Formats: sequence, C-alpha cells, structure tokens
Amino acid sequence: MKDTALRPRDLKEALILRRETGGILYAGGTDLMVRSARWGTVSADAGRPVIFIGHLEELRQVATEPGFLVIGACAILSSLRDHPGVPVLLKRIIGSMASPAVRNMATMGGNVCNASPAGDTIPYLLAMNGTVLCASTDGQKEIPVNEFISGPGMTILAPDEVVTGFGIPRYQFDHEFHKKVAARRANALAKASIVGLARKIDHRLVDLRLAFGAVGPKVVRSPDCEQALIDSLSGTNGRHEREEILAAVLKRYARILSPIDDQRSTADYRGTVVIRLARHFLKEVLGLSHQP
Amino acid sequence: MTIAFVVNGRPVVLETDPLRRLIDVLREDLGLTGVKEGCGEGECGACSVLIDERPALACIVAVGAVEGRHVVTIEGYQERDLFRKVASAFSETGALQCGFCTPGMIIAAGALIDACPDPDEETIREALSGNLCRCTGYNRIVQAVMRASRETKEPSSR
Repeated sequence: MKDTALRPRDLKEALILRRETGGILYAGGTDLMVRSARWGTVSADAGRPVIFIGHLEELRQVATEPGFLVIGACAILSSLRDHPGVPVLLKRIIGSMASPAVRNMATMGGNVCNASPAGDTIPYLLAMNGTVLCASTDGQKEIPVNEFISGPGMTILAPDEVVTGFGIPRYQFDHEFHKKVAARRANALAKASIVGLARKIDHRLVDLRLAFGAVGPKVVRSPDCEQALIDSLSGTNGRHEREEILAAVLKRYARILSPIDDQRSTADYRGTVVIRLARHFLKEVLGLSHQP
Repeated sequence: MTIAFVVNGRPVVLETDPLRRLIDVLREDLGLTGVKEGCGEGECGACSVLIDERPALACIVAVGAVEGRHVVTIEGYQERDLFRKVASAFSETGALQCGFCTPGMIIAAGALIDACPDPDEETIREALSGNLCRCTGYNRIVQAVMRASRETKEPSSR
C-alpha cells in the first residue's frame, strides 16, 4: 500500500518531498483533521500524501533579529504566548484563539495558510506589514501577507513550497487595539475582528493602521483611509473638523467592507459592529473620546 | 507506516495508517477507553490527553504526528499524586454527574495546577474553557480545582 503520509527528518527532506509529491502540509493538524473527518480522509484531495512538518525544529523557532521578529511557521501558539520576544498584542490575540489544548497543537503557519477571512492572526500580520517566508528546493522568498492570501481559503503558495515562518517588523505603537467578536470567548471563530495601531509624536499622528477580519473575502486594510486619518490630526484641524473627517472615513470603510451572512453572523451585524469598534478606537486616537 | 511513541510511560510500536486519529489508536488498538470522544472536532475537550506534558486533543491529532512523543491518558495520569488530589477534590465537591467530561477536565485541571499552583477563578475558567460539561454548570468544577490547588500547596492538611 502506498504511504498516505510522509515524515521528513528535516526541512531539506521536507522540501524534496514537497517538490516530488505536492503533498498536503500537516503542521498542527487542528484544522486539517477536522476537515478530513468531514471528507472521510485527508487524502480525499486528489490522492496527494500528507507531509508532517510540525515536528521540524527549523520551523519551530522564534528569532529576534535587529528590527524584526521571525516566528517559525510550526511554533505552537502556546509557546508563542510564553515567549519573551513575542509582542504583547500578538499574545493577546493568541489568547483569544480556540482553547488551551488547541493552542498547544495549532500553529501560525496553519492559521495563515488556511487563509480563512476569520483567521485570527491575519489582521495582526497585515497591520504590522508582516511577510510570509516561503522555501522550496530552489531557495527562499518573502511575500507580503496580503499578497500571499489571494482569497478565502486560497494562497499563492506554490505546490513545491513550504511556509517556514513570518517576518514581523519591530515597531512601537502608542495605541494598540484588538477586538474579536464571537459567540463565546473560547473555541469560537470570529464573527468579525479588528486590529488598530497608532503612533504619535508630540500629539501628531505619524502612523495609523486598521485591519478588519471576517468582513470580506480577505482581511481588509485601506491605505487611503489611514492616510486621511493621519492628515486629520496633523494639520490645524479643530475638534469639529476632526469629527467630520472621522465620520467621512468611517463611511468609506463601510463601503470597502463586504461582509456576508453565514452560520456565524449576518452581514449587517458584522459591518455595524466593526465600524463601531473602529470608531471607538479612532476617537481615542484622535482625542475625541470625551465630550468637550 | 511504523509509528513508535510512548503511552503512559510504555513504548508502543504500531504498524498503522499514520492518518488515523490518535483517539482511535488509543481506544481501539490500546484499549485506553478513558479517552472519550465527545464532539470529534476539537471543541469539547473530552478526549484531552497530555502530549509531552501539554494538554492536547486526541480527536484532532493524526497518530503519525506523535512519533517519538510521550502521550499520557487518564489511565496513566491516575498514577500521579496530583491526580489523586484533583480526583478527590472533584468527588468531594460534587464536580461531576455523568462523568463523561471528567477525564478531560482532570487532565486540563492538573496541567493548570502544574503550571500555576495558585490559580484564581478567572484563570481556572480560562484553563478549562475548552472542556465542555453538560451536567454541572461548571461552578462546582471551578470550586474543585480551587480546592485541589489549595491541597497541593498544603500537603500536611490531608
């Protein structure tokens, strides 16, 4: 009988097997095994074998490089939560994912490669301008997260490539915001989520980023809207002008988002709740939280 | 594929499909029926086991992924001192009714007490958030874990 699964000894062997078979990569297995239970077998997908990569030490490391952090694709989520080099915001996001036992198995590599619009780590990576590190027998490449994910459940990972990790620029923000809206705190997929980051120098906004999850086929960011918000606080605008700009930008965001109705929520609720959350965060950043 | 791993301290070597779920191998091949299947999709925690001392869910692990690793089921866990403290706290507090979730609850509770000897209520609820119980309403389970953690700290009191 042909082997249904392969267990490479190291990354080099994994890349050769991936090239030869185009096998399905098994990192933590927490999504794959649930899907395969529904299909009957993992290999229902065109008879390709499964390649176990979760045990490969090269993929389980967290490295703090000057200026950025590299998170191994197969580092388990609970080890990231315990790691001193992992940013606090990412730790909080990981704490909102699944349950403790699932976090002992699941990986960021799996979360990103599943490319769910509700994937919890994706808005964070997108807001941080994170990259996906891919390797094949031909070498390595680095792809921005937004390009890597091409649609719901789809990535541009080539059949001979393996995601080895994620590059996250080290950058300090004064305001960090994350909300996940879900049916319950544990073991629930996001109905909608938002990550907001802002940096100020002398009350001037120098950087602002907003990423919205589960309200479109891909996680949403808008450089135009972000720039408009930055500009609103950099000029001589008074409170009234800033409030008007904020209202206009939120309307633009509402047009960009394309939430859907599904078993977890409705388009209406998703769109409404993320815009309200964005407003809450932006009012704080723009100094509009309190009535004059 | 030949898969070698350690179950409850004993080496196991199996010739089997590496994509079989760990829970099926544990229950069917090794007779370890303390590992319960509730939802079969990683939502309920009834199949909790320790893999390399961390709680994990046997219903969503392929057996090929545990090659070389140490798996402890409730059958192996009951040899531990901590098991006795947690189990007696559960029975004295009335933290179970049908008992189906209990092996998973005890694995999760024990792992919490190992990592955090003096957990508060919020920490306990978070640690047990992946373990569903349809009988108790959870309050007595939380009380039992608090009691077990107190007794672990003060061994002379018992």
